[in-house]
This record gives sequence, structure tokens and C-alpha cells, in this order.
Amino acid sequence: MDDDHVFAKRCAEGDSEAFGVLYDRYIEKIYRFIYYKTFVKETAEDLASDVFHKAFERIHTFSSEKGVFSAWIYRIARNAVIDHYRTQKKNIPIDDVFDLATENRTVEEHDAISSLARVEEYLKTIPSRQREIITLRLWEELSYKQIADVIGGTEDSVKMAFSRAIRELREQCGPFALLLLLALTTQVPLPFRSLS
Amino acid sequence: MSAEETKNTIIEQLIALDPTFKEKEADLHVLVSELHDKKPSVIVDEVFIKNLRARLIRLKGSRIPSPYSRTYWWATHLAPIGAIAILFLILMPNELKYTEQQIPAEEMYLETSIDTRNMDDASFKSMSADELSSPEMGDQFNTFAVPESDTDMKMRAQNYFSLPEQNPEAAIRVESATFSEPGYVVIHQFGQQGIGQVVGISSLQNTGTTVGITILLRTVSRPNETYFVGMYHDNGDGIFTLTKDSIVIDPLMGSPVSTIVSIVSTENY
Repeated sequence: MDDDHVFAKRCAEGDSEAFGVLYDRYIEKIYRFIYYKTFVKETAEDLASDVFHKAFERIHTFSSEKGVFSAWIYRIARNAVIDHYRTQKKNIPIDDVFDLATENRTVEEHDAISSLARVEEYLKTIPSRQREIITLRLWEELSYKQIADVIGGTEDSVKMAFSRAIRELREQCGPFALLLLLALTTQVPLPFRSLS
Repeated sequence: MSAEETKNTIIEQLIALDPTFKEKEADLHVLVSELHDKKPSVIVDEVFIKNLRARLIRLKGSRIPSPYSRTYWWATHLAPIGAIAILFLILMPNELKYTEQQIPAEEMYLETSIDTRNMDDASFKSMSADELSSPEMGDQFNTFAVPESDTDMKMRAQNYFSLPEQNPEAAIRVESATFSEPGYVVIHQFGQQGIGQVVGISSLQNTGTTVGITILLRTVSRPNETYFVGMYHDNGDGIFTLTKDSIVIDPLMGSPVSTIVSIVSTENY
């Protein structure tokens, strides 16, 4: 939102109601962002809670001159997930959404992972950084500039990484694999879908 | 931006970045669409959201007042006069005779569309005169019978608010609000469709009068926009919930303690 920085400034001045506005705007986005990386409801809730407590305490450190509020809070969320897996001593790539442990999950959580697993077959062939850029761009719908602020790097480097990832996916998939991808990920019979 | 627009934008950006994508645009569209559409569905627990919000807001309970939350000298000096007037009204109930009123349907439209207790989420719907007269709504409209008890008079006197002129900004300012029990001043969208979503909620107001409340809106208001402003009593949990907290009803009028406010353009000055 364009006026996030206005509310952030008010919050830094002590107006907790302004923080409430920012909270309402971002709680679901941040929760989903964390959930995609953990797929455990309780973990996602704990981490989302930590993120907003930290954001509340450190709101005075946010500067609209350095970037937008959304990138700032996504960065806090990303670091919270990294810290979480560090403390859990999981020997997995931190950025990796897809290789996390599967214990303590509900049926719904397994369903979500199962759905994702079909796309995973294609996404896992590209580096984790490119994968994270794809999910932030396509699922969170962040701009390239915001993604650069969240994961580091420049806007141009993120654009290039995204373009490269899509190219690699398209080349690896090929027309036949794209048809297969369609069949795997939709309930619509193939004859009703056309690629051209 | 719709999902389709988002996907098209992404594809256009990719082609702009690497024109060779243009040759395989159909494949690209399939790939981007499938990746985008396979976003896992996540439902966030509403109780978690509300509880965390309440915890965070309480965390800084002793917040620094906003620049608008100041006490006006006239409110302080005129308060005793107001109190005497209210006392007079309470002590002289027999002087005020009321009879049951016939309320035209077009007026009832506004009055009845704001019973939040039977509405889904923060949305309200308009009601026709036929709907208003349906049996299931019957009890609700008995409130239009004008009460005369001392308690009701006291209630009326103890729940009211006033608004100054509102200019375009990300907040609605309330000059003062007086509650007979803890509650909230709540801002709804208001337009041709009647009363709409909640777009602003004050912090929990204690019993008594609070002067200078600033209620932040989800977006910056614009000239000529209208909002419905109403008072709600808290159900005791300290969290505003549209379906649980009850709108304050003026016992004399049988209608909510509310008003419609229009945003005035600053260019008028």
C-alpha cells in the first residue's frame, strides 16, 4: 500500500492504532508466506506472532527512504523462518520450501503439500534462490524491487534470475511435460485445454 | 489487479526482458498460469488473528496520544453544564411524553440495515419494506415502540458522540464520545448500497466521556465519500467483533446511535 509509511511513522511515534492498520493489511500475507515455508499451522502462527512483535518493537528502525514497508516486514518474516530452522537444527537448505520435514502435520496440511508436490517436481530442478523468487513473484505478487529488498540483490538481478528460472523450467518441461503438468495440476480433461 | 492481469503483466515483463520468449508465448502462458494457480490454499485462523492483534495493541497500552487526541478547553468548561442538563432530563421523565411513531419505509431502510447481529462478516445488505415486515423481523422492530423508563432515558443520555467536519485523510476524527459501558466507535462504508464493511474501529473506550478520538481508516478518505459512524458496546472480551458486540440503540428513537458523515474537500476553503 502506498501509505504504509504514513502508518509506520505514526506507530513509531507511539500510536499503536496505526500499527493495527498495518497489522490488518499484512497479517494474512505474512502468515501465508511463513506457512509456505513450514506447512505446520502452529509453527506458522508462532512465527507470525514473533514477526509482528519484532516489527512492533523495531518500527522506529523502519525508514521509507530505504525501502517500502512490505519488503521490510517480509524480510523480518524470512529471517524468522531462517532462525526457526537454525534452532531446529534442520540440515536442509534454508530457502527451500519443498524439502522440509513432514512430521506433526494435519491432513489438510498434507493435502496442501501434496498439491504443491506436483509443481515441486518442476520447481526443484532450479536453484533455491530462483525458486524463492518465483514464489514471491507469482504467489505473493511482490514487485521485483520488493523481492530484491526481501532477499537481497538488485532489482535487475532479481528480474534476470526470474527470467532465467522461467526459461529453464520451460526448456526442461518442453511441450510434452507442459501437457503433463496440466494433467497433473488440473481436474479438467486434457482435450478441453489447449496450449495454443 | 486480477489474477489474469497479474499473469499477463508477468508475461509481458518477461518478453520485454527477453524478446525470444515471444516465440513461445503460448507455452510461457501455460507455465506461468500453472505456477501461479497452484499457490497452496491457506486459511488463516480468525481467532488467532484477533487474539494476536489484541495482544499487540495492549502491549503498548500507554501509547503516546496522537496530535488529535487533545482536550479542548470548551469541552472541559461546558461539561458541567451538560451534566446538569442530563440530570434534568433524568429527573423530569414525566415532562417528556412520547407515543409510538409511524416510521416511513424509506426511513426504516436505514434504521434496519444496521442490525449487525444477523449479518455475515462485516457486510450489510439493504432491506425492502416487505423484508422489514416479515415475521422473523417482527421482534426487531418492536424496538420502534418508544420506551419511557428512567433507565432508558439514562441510557440515551449516556451514549452519544459528536463529529467535527471531516477532511480527506486516513482517519475519522471524533470530537467526543460518551459511553454508558465500554465500547467502540466504528466506521462503516456508506453508499448507494447502504451500510457496508467496517473500515475503522476506535480503541476500546471506557465508560464516560473521551474527547478527541482519532479512528484510523484502512485507506485515505476522499472528498464527498460518506461513512456510517456508529457506537457499539463491547461484549466483555475487549476485542471488537461485529457479530458479537452490539450496536448501541437509542431507547427513545429505537434506532442506533449513529450518524452519516461526508468528507469535505479541503479545496472548499
